[in-house]
Amino acid sequence: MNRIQMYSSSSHLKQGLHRALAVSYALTSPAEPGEGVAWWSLLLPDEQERGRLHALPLDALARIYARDTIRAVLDAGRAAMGLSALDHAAVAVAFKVAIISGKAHRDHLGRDVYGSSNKGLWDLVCGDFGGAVALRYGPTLGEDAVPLAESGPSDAALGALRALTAFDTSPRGDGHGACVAWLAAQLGQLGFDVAVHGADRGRPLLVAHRPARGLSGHLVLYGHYDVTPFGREETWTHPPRELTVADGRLFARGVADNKGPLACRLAAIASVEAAPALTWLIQGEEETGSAVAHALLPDLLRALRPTLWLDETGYHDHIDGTLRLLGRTMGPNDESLPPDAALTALMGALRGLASRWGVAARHERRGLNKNVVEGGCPFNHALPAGARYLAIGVNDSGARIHGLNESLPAWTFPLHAAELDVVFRWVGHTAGSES
Amino acid sequence: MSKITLAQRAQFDEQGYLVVGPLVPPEQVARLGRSFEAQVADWAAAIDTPLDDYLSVVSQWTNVWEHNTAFRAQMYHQRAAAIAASLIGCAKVRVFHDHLIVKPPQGGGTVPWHRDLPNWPVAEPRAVSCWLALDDVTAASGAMRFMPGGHKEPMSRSIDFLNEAKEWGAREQEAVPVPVLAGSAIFHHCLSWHMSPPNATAGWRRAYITIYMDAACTFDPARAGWHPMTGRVTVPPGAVFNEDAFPTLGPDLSPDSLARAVGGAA
Repeated sequence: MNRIQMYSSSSHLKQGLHRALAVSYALTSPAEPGEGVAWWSLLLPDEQERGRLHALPLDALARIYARDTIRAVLDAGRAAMGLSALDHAAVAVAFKVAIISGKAHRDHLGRDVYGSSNKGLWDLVCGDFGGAVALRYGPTLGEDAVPLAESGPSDAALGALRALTAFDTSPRGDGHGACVAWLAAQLGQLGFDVAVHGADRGRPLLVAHRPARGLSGHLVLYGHYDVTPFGREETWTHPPRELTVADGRLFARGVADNKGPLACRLAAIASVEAAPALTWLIQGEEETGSAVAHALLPDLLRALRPTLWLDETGYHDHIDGTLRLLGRTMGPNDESLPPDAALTALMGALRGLASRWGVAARHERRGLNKNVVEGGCPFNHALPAGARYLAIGVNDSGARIHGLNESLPAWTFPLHAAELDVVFRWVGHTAGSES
Repeated sequence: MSKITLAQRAQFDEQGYLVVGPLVPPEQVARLGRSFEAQVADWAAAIDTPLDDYLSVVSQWTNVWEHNTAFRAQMYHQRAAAIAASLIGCAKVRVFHDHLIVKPPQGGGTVPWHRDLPNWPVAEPRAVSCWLALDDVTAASGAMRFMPGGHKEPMSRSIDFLNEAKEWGAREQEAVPVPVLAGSAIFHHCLSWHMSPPNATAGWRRAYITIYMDAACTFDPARAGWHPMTGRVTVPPGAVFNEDAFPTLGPDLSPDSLARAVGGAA
């Protein structure tokens, strides 16, 4: 939540007030699987759309903050961060002062002492709460709302995806070796030690590891660089062998499965300074039976004890962008058990993050459905009991993976980059508290 | 018309501020006081707010001259403009803007140490503020404090009044509170370091400030963060401000007139 400065516009205060409520709700509302939940469901019907967009005016926010139900949510959020309840009477006075100051400025350039009214309200509601949230989950959770139309891949992510989609890693393609070399080089530049396994028996498996950078814990990521066949290329609306950006989407074979998520994560990791220890497993036969991975991963995974296992991607509903949060604790025989308290807290933070993009979130207690190929995905089937599993990513339900015109939504890239930052910090906090 | 002396001019050059008193007679002070009371009542009504609530929050108004004829007349005060021109060393001055700044009884926050120019979209350090007291101002009621000679130090960045505080260290002891009587004015350089404490008395501390700059000053939007006047500028960056919202003061400010007003100092 951006600090109020002398030159801050009133929008900073309003964004902070929206974020405090949205994050409080996300961190504390029920996390049972079911319908999508969104913080703006707390509001009256005629307030909800503007609330979703973080566009409620200050006087409306004052009325909202005066409701007992809202006060309870705010206090629950503060309690989750270890803070005492708000002084709601003081908040009401601060709203009144800030509203008078804003009206005077708009009407006749009257002001308080250099924005002190806005800062007074911000300090009460957002100051310590925003600081506590930032300390645990990083600053991105509290930052301003992001209009979907302005959300798209960074140049780095787009460049990485353009490079990846240029390699023909379809089953009969000739680009696997070059793609492996490119990935190894990229990972090396990010500080990973990269080992290539199984080249003698199939498409190789990359095992990349990077020591911790300022955060405790260990995160294992999974992905794959192979893609399904191109199909009848002449029937694609965009050429499948090169990246096309059109209508807010990215088109090419493999863009959703799994090169887009790979590109997004490469760029995201390059952009953050603090990270836990990372192990990234990237195989090349997910679409053709995973012979190498099936042979190597079980022993490899058993040797790891990460704080979290992060699958290759995750999904949004393509209609309204609702985030599907696939989270579970692994039981015996691949059983999906409820997320534990720590993972539940992370999923709450991720719901709060999604609300910056104005999308709701829905919990689903399962893994990605990857049993299309005989034997399924060795990553999903080899996780030890008790493992925390999460699937989030850039895909949506309109991605048409394996089909014609495979595509990805562009807007999800910045969100997923921010998700990784939140996950990293949660890994650090969780591992620190469990050690 | 009273003049400033060469000694006063030298004092301003050395310290960065100069008290001129009285600048206006008691009846003009009273007129401005009544105008203030009427004007704030109108403004409070305009935003449908009880006057007491309004005055407990709002303490600074910009471009008062565009709303109120009494303050408009004061802004065009010939002697004030002539003194400003003398202190700047220019033939003709332009108003950057005016403002009323008040500290209510037992109120008003601390305005921290700062310089004005880093907050203005004005390129040249060729401006002075004429801070006219509408009430007797004492150290207890929030008199401005100056750091003598601070205006001669190199240009510095803007201070965030809400989150920063300039530390002077032992030099803080050199800071000078400048109490003035109603009707007197403090002329201070746009690079002078100054601050004001809260008003700890039962009376008001009201001041009407006119910022006069060399009429040849140019627009530099990159210098400052948000400023209420930036949106009023209708010339491109680097150009001399025009008359749209920044009036120059009339033909009486010819060099000869200035020379007469300030004893040849112009």
